[in-house]
Amino acid sequence: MGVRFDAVSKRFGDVVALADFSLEVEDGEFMVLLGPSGCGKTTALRILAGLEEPSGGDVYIDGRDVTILAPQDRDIAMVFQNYALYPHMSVYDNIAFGLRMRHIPRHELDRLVRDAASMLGLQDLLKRKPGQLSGGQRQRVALGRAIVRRPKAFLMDEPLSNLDAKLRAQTRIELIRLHRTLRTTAVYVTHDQVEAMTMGQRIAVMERGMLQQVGSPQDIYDRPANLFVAEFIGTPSMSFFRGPLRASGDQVAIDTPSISFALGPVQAAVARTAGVGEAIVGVRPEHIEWAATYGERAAAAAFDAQVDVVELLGNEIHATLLVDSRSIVARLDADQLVKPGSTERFTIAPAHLLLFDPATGRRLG
Amino acid sequence: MTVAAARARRRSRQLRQLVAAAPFVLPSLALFCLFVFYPLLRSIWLGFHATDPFGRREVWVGIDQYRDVLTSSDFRHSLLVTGQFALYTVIGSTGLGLYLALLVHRRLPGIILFRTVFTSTVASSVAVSSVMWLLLLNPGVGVLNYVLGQGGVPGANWLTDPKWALPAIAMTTVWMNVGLATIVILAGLQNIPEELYESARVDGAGPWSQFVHVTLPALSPTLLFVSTVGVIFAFQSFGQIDILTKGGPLDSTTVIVYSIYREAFLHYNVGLASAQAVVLFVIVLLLTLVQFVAAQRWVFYR
Repeated sequence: MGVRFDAVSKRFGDVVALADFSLEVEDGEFMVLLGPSGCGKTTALRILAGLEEPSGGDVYIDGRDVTILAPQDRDIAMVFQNYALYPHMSVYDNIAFGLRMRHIPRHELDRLVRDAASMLGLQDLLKRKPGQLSGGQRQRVALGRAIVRRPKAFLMDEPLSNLDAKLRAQTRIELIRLHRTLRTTAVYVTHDQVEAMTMGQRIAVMERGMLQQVGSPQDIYDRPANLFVAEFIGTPSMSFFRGPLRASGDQVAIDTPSISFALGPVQAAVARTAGVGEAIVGVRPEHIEWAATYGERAAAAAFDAQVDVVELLGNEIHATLLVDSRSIVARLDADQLVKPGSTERFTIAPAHLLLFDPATGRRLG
Repeated sequence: MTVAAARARRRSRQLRQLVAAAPFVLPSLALFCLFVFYPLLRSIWLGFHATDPFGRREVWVGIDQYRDVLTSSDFRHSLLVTGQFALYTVIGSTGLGLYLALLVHRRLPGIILFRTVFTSTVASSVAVSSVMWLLLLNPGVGVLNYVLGQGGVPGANWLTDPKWALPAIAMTTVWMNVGLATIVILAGLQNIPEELYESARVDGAGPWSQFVHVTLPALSPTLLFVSTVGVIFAFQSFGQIDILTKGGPLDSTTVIVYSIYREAFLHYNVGLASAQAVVLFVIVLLLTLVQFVAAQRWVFYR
């Protein structure tokens, strides 16, 4: 019972919200649509729900073309950002509403509602009105309303964004468990990469109405398809250095204004086959190391930097470094307490360097 | 500091606050006293006295006039007429207001024009509207009978036939009130979050179910307000009755307010009119209370 977008596009007047969007979500998969606000992820979800009509392309649910079907005929359930609970109905009636609309016999309806409520720990709240519930409880009622119908797919539009940080972390885990139990196809929209990385079996990264990359969380983190994905995923963000390629014998180097990189054999081969004269090097904060601890052996690059700001997070340190007036962030171990204001030597290991084509923005290799 | 001193300090602070607040409250308090509280008390007082033909207070008659009012068949008749009138106008203006508000709630090009047209009756005075309807309802040259005639339906002597006079006035009044009802209901509709409808659609609700399960409950406080105000308007209506029928024919449009007016300013029986006015006041008060009690049960406030 998968879900498929086939070249779906959506225009609002002159604004293109979604362009040639194709994506296949496998049966039982938890797919996250991730991107900054205005990237088209919510539009894609609403088109899947039938709340929005696509300007072009087709949508399939469980192999059936549902492009022109009304939401009620698609057998999907949706969890809204503000929960959209019916304020005058009790928790019980809220959960039962979808079943009542489908004329489920009363005794079966009662059993289904109580099953769903107990799965979410709502048994004692069934008589309450939404106004008497906390944010987290409302959120669970919204989930209950979705799961009680056993739909073909769950659509969720930033369902955790109204919760505080602690509750969000808890609910994330509950959602993962719930999905493991129900094994229902889920399409989950968020701008929060932590949610995406932790919950998604696969992530579809979107920007400006276009799909940038689809892959497992690890894939997207380690092998971002382009500069946008590389920068968007990961906190603190990746640093980028641009410079011309210089080959001498087997060795390939990239000389950027601030740092010179000597590529390892794999990246050197990649750079050679790509046949570009210039490249952008991407470095994740955790791959910048303090030379005082690890020394400079086998480093792709070594440079002096002035330590600007040091943020101690308890388990790790984010150090903002000034390299020729550019500021980049390094993630250090908690015991590597560099002093703000001091000048230190840092190295970058060759294995993790990512190379991008400056002309297209695509990753090389 | 002793307890007594603290109390004295607090009292002086309260006094100072009162002095500061008084200039802000006084103007409206004065107006209320002059035009609401004094006439109200004066009416109750006059109700206990018989008056001479010039409206001067003569003799104390105790509750006699109140008893007369409550037992007279004329008063009961005008109470019945008022009740019917209220029923017609409240159902008419709330129902039509809801219908019009739903029509113009959608976002369509040019909808502002229709919103303006549907709500424009707010801006027309009772006198102007009444004169306009006097012409429309005229059996000989009125548009209403002409249109009905074109459709093959025989017209009526709207304002001179006892069967039709009250419905005709109610229709006029609905026309005058529906603008306000539409505005208020439209505002209520626009406060309902779009997500509720989307959620209902995904849950499988069609347009009718959405209306019953989302729109009506969310709109219930607004509808209560519109109908309460409608009842009060109905019990206070005077202008259109005075201009269109003067309470006739055969007292078929003599609502309580018109009866009070006739008693006081045509028969100069101010005492009896005052007694009627006080009874009317009590009835409207009770009705409003009943509506608010009913609201506790039926109306959902978020």
